[in-house]
Amino acid sequence: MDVVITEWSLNSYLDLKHAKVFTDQEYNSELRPDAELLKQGWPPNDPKFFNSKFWGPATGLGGKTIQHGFKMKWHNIGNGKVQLRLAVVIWAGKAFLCQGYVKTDDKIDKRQMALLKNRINDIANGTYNYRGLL
Amino acid sequence: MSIFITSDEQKVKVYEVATQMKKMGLSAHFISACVEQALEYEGTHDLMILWFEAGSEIERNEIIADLQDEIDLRAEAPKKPVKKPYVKFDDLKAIAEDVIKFKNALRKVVDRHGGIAKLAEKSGLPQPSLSRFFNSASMPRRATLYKIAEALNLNEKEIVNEWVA
Repeated sequence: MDVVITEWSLNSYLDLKHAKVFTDQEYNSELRPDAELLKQGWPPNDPKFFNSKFWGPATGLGGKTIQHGFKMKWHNIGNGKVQLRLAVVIWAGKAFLCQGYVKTDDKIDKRQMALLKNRINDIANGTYNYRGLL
Repeated sequence: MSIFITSDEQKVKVYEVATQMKKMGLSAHFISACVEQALEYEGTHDLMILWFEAGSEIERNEIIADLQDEIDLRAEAPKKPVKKPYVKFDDLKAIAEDVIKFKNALRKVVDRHGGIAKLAEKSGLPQPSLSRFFNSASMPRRATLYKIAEALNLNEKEIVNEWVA
């Protein structure tokens, strides 16, 4: 499965990188290899995807599942030991990396999920910029 | 083919939140842009609801910046998927530093013209949105730069940057 790097994800990674949220070593040994697991196809077979601490459906207001939206989760990342999330959209046989963010509390998660709904609309409508494939 | 479309029930709520936004002193221009988008995009409706329910000014300001980002994003959205050059992970640090350097230089110009509050007043961009713009390493949007240039009477050369999104 193609894994598309959207411009939204690039911008979020610029901010995360600038804020030194994760180390280069974590990116190379953990974050990127995990995202690359999506290349194996949909639905994923890797056991990691059956662990809700690593992968799960995106949920919006009222706990409603956001169709086509998912979250990849990392715990205790960087020197700040933060909860890092990557919002992913699965659409038309492709995985779109949408936005990385630090989940400091549930309120941030809710905002990011609201944004994800708009990203899904943009992907479905083809109104987006992307930076190639992972 | 949008997936998340605002329902009639949600549209009524959007107007309620808009009225509250007006009472809280947000500009009619900003509120009307939020409403216009929220009537179509459920995610923007959700942001307005989150603003309404926010328990602190900090949280409300973050949501205002999110809403302005969404407004600017849609103003520049391409009509079909556009592929831009690939960026290597190893280059992210240097790009982020370039972007911050550019924004810091622009910030100095803004400060010479009375600061962020004055710029917000002149440009119509909410203050929380401008604060996020100057503190973030994400690539600046052309729409934002043009609004700043217009407000401060800057020329193209003063706002040009290699990393405009």
